[in-house]
Amino acid sequence: MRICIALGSPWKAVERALEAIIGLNPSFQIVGQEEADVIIVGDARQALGFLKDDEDVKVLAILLGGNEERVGAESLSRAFPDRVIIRPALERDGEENIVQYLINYKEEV
Amino acid sequence: MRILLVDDSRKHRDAGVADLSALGHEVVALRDYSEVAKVVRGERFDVALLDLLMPAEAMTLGSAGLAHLGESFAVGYPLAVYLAARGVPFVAVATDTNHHNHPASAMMDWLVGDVVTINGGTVMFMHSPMKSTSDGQVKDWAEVLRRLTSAGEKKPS
Repeated sequence: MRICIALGSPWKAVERALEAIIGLNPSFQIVGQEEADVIIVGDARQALGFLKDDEDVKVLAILLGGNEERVGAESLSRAFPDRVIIRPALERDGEENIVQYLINYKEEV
Repeated sequence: MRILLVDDSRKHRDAGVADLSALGHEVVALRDYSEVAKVVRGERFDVALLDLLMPAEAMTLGSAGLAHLGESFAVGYPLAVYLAARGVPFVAVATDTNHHNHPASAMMDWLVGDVVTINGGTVMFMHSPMKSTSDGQVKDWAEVLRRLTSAGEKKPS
């Protein structure tokens, strides 16, 4: 899967960490936005722009903030079925977090 | 003419820019309706061509409002009123959504064929003429413009 990380400037350190994690999984390839199958975002508002611009792209929304981020991401998930994946930055109530998701992901052959 | 085109769909927007520019018009194309107020402030447009259904944007929404983020809603109707009220002389709303598939498009049936006057400007609502391209079926914004300006010419002064 071709992935683009687009968290934005306040989250540069998180982007670096994700690049390292993604690099461990042979199912992933880090690419630019135009070539990506999935774009990792930290902001539901930003995610909406990517979903509008490319009808084929999916977004992986990392919940970095509070409840509002989850509300927005879940709304996008309903509005764009099968195109929005939501994972918290930190594990919450047994929900798989972004790191676990990226490590465990295996591309279907 | 100076044309404001607002459509969240990239293929419809790109087709509109190409077709209208080829006719010699200057086109300002927006993906996000939240940009409209900023763009029209202090700028003159002769025509506004608007999509009907667009995904709801965050703007000033709080938690309750963000529960609607991305939902398709009939933003074309209030946008048309907003732009006509601000002096855009020709405004058209054109949808490619089948009128069986969304209530807002079904409501369009009530307005098709009418020429509405808001603030002295001509406003029309229509199911969009379409044309075939390598991107598939796209809105024919040049034909929308032709119908709109023709209707304006026929209005009694």
